[in-house]
Amino acid sequence: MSENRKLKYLKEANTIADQTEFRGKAKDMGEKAGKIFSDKTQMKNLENIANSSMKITDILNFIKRQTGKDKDRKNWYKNNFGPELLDTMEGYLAEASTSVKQKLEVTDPGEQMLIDLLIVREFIRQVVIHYEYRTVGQEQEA
Amino acid sequence: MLVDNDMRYKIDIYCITKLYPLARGFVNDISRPLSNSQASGLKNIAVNASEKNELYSFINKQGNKDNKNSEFYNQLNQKVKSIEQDIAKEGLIPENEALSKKEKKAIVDFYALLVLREFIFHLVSHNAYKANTGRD
Repeated sequence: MSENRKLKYLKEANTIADQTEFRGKAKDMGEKAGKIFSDKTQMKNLENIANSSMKITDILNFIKRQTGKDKDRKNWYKNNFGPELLDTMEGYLAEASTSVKQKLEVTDPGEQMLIDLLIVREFIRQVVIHYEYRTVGQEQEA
Repeated sequence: MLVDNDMRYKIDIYCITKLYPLARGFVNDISRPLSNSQASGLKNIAVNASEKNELYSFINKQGNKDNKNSEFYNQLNQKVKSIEQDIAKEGLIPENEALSKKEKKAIVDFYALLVLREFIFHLVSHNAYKANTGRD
């Protein structure tokens, strides 16, 4: 895949990520995370997985494992956070990704995989930014 | 044995398009998910197995036990066999006519283990999620 194509996909993913609905959903998830995770490790781990993975299923699996472990509903399953994040990825973000693939007429499975990943990475990046913004606010209030 | 980038790329695509939905469907269809400790055991075997037969042997052994998990493992046994049959059809095994029969078999087994390991990772993750949340 040429660098030009990669840049084209990145640009289109950024356009999607700049839409009001996308930013709104990321903000909602980030603020929800802020009410749940007092320790930054979990959100940092999520961001690291998103940035280092080459396939979207690694990110989905991470969220599933963390939610599956939370028997007491104290973190990933609290307020339905994990399931909601998964639903957003498999619903809204998947649809956004499909629209990009259709617009750019991308049929190669590897390039489709990259577009999925770029959009999800951008979403998680925004979630973590809102999460950190909220937790800094909480620290200052305390 | 090293996996070249082209093969890794093909396996990643297979993982997303086939293995992930297969693992999810498998867990959703099974009447009783594994406990977290059982699932961890399965994952550890998949991670540490150096040959695919170690994985098959574990699955067979668990399936032959007369307990609540035997159905899961017996179904899993069928599923991993069908995935293994699919691997060659999907072009996930590099071909090299210059190799001996023994060397070719080693390559087939190596790639089979690689793919089955990915399947088990998906399966264990969805199993944990389903067992705790009841969600598909």
